[in-house]
Amino acid sequence: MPSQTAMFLMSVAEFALWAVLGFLFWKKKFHLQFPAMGYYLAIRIASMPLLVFFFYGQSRHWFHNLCFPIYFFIYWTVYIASAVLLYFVCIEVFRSALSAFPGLMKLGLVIFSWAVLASVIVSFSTITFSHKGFMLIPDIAFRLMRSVSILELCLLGFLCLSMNALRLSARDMAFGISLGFGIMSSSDFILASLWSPKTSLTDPVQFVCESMILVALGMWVAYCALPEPARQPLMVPANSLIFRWNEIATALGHTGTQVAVQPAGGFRLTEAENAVEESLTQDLKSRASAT
Amino acid sequence: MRRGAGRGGKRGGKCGQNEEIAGPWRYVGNYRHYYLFIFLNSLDLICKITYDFGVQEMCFLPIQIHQRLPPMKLALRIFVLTIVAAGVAAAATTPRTAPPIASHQSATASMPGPGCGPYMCPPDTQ
Repeated sequence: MPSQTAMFLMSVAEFALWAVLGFLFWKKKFHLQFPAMGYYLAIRIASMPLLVFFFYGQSRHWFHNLCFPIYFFIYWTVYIASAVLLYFVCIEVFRSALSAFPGLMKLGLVIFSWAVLASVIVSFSTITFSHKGFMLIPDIAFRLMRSVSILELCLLGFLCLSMNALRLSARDMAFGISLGFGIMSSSDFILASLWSPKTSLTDPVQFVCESMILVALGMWVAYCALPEPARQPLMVPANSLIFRWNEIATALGHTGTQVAVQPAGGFRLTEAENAVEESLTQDLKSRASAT
Repeated sequence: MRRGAGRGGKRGGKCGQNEEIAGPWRYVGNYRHYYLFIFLNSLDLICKITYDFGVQEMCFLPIQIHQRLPPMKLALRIFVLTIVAAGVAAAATTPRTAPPIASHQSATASMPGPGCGPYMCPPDTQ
């Protein structure tokens, strides 16, 4: 089979797998548990016909040659929207993985959100601004996607190493989503590191990366199609380290009784103590004088 | 480092009961076992290296790997960590001057990326 035909068939299979995945995801109501992932799949499936339409239109000079600007803006808007949605998907996966430990989840989400913010700031600060005008948009989009890819790999590493402690099953959807995106991120980075201007679309590297994407998609379809194991009530020993940390985190996040902080010039506890001491001294003196 | 109590006894540690080592060396008397337990907590692997010294000044080192995880789960972990390591290594070795490539995670991955901006390209390329 010619390599071009093989690559075309793989691309068709990829789109078909995305469509099947979207269908199963909504049918099994996973979008209620992972809304950002649902939006990501929706944008992935819905944008394709739109982009095909305008891509075809630019070669036919439809709409007074406005198809190319429209294609350009849709393309990069969808690209940036995908990157932003992937950030939220990471947060959803993190929340779902730590759902058995509400205290740790609250504390972890705060830390995770700060990590996301730091990642975004670092990404924007490393933009070279070598391009001017509209071509700055692709630079921003590439940086955002790179930073979210690193975040996905970090999340996957965290889930893999803490599966036992979190009592997270490998068949859990949160782990499945993270694994799929981890494979895709890794594939992107490998392709980027081996890319050269001579690399064609039918290069063996392209086949390897496309195969990895298909594996990730097939795995997601299997996760959606197979029944997810019901989460059992978590049983941990009372002296378990993670249980203790969860208790501490719960206590830290507890918004119970509020304490009024007195201003510097206000009533102080030492003044009350002095007043009590004075009254006791006077009482003792009066008793001594009476006897 | 733990020292075994003798033949057939229960050894401590996370691996539970010690399995006797089959083979001709089992019948050599006055031997002692030295166990080296390496606990790789993250992978839940316990690597036990046993040294058997016999009267004939011969020794051998059977290495047994006890897995507290089922093999599938362990294989999955190794696979996942390999992916993470490969991705991180690739990201670290990519030169900063390399041309950026559209990610497959983008919803626009299947479509060709615009090579230039609107009103910036030659009319033939648009």
